[in-house]
Amino acid sequence: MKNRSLSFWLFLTPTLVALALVVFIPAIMGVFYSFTNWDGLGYTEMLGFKNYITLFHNSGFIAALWFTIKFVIVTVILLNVIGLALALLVTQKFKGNNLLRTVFFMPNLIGGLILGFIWQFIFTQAFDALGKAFHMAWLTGWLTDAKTGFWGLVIVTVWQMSGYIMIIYIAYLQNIPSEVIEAAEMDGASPWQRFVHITFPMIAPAFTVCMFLTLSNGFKIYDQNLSLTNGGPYKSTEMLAMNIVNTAYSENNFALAEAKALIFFLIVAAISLLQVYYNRKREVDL
Amino acid sequence: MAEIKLEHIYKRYPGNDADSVTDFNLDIKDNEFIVFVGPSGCGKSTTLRMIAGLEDITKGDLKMDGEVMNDVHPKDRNIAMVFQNYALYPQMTVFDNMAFGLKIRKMPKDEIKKRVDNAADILGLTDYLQRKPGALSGGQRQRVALGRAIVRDAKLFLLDEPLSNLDAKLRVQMRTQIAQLHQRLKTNMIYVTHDQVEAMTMADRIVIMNDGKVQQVGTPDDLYNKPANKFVAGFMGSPSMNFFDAKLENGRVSNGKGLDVAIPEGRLKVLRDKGYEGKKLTVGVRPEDIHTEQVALEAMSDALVDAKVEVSEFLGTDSMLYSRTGDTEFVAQVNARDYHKPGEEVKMAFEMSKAHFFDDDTQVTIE
Repeated sequence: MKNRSLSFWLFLTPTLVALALVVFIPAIMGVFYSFTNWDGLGYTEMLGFKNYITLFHNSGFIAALWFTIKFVIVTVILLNVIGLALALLVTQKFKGNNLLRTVFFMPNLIGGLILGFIWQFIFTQAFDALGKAFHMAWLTGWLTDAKTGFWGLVIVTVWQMSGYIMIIYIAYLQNIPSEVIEAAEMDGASPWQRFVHITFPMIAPAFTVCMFLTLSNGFKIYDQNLSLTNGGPYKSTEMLAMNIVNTAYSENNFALAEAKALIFFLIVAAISLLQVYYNRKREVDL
Repeated sequence: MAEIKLEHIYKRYPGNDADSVTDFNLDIKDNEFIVFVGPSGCGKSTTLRMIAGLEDITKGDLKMDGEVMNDVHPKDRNIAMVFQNYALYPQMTVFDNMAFGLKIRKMPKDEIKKRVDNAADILGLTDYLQRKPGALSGGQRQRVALGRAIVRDAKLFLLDEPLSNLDAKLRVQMRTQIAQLHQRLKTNMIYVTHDQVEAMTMADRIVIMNDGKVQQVGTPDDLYNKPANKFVAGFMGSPSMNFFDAKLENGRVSNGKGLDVAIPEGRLKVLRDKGYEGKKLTVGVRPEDIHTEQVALEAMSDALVDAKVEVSEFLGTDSMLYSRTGDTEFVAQVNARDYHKPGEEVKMAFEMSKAHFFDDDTQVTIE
């Protein structure tokens, strides 16, 4: 028993130390700094909840929060709908479905920054050229206002991540016994009824996982934001993560940035956990 | 309920060189309980799935009440099916599982409730209607699967190895329950199994298949006592029929290695008339037609074999003597009183009036 206890701690300690060094201690320090006037080097006074009061009166933060929430709602819906649709498509029996899986997944292999620059070119050059050639005004001037900036970010994120979501849905779709689907077919269910009443409830765990991933990813997005719009024009497409980075490194207000980051963390954690809790309740054992 | 005809049905999967089902012909009469039996991969499930509409028919016609059903969608065939792995909808309660097909067909709610309650009553599931399949035992799940078929009031029931996931005792119980269900519902049933005991005990008629081909269609009695060929003879019956490669000479069959027995006059005449005198043939003797009791040895003194018992199994009423004569192994099913220990040398009498003879080349029964 003593030996087991020793080996148990021997294996666990490196992980605990690493976690403490890079997660727990910085997090606790961060929480502490959010109550000070820390400027990245040191602090001179304790401010109490002043930073928290300030941030809720900070129009930049509120705008970024609202923009991020809208972005998350749209991307979560689109990513899950498109990811599931792609998964349903490539799990059909036809030639080339494996090739399609690879093609759909490939954008996920490209880094967010590079992807942002590629799509910046597509939006500003290719869209523009097409718009002019075919006299479609809505294709011109992309990324020059908040609306096209928003949809540009949505398109890039969905294009990048839907292949990844597709893979998760595929794994669960392939787990559904074919006999259950055939039984529904014999029961007279149309393909749509089979999807609604049988397939979808049976891939509920995948839905939980994908909702969690897309939600937290949507809130945390930074690199695409940086390379595609850099928050512009006039900070109208600045998302929460970027707002926090800018507060810290552009405005040099590290303490306020810490407070924002803590609020950000609490929002993401609360929404994600709530979502997981409610979706888990709907899941069934196969 | 319905007359079903399968006329020259073939199935070949894309990319395959050979047919999975070859020239399948069958007329199913009203209210008949048909069992498809055969070893794994013989095409019995494929045939069932073609009838269900879950597989395309490559060639041939499937007719129900005179109408060709080849291109009719499964849901429009008025067929209910019970699957091997139950195929219950895990997220639905037992009630909803049974009601699903009726809801899809937009049946009035009170009629759905009446039918489900009735089926639950027949199957003893009334107390479990609000449970989900995950909270049921294997036998209960299988009954739900049956209930789902019953409520549909279909023309034809298809059952694809429905008992193979149950333990031996439950299997026997469910076997009886399905047979009772058939009598009660008075509907056509096609039942697929690889278990010849299930086939023998439940079927009005058995279709025995091998390598995608129908070997014989007949009543359990026909298949057991008048097998069409060596395959059918070997497949039906447990333990299997013993086979001896032998030669017919001077009214006796012998293999020069222990087997040398006389053939009764009537059987001998048939063999001689068919020209088997002096030729090789296969002799089949069922284990229960081999005797060790003194009275049998005296009565069948011209059909005795010296055997050595290698393994013996005591089964209560019977004993199985796994024995050897020369280099041929065989099994004798004798009365438990005639138990012999392994290693004992025993004289055994072969009841040749009940023996079967098969052509050495074609394996077809000589009759």
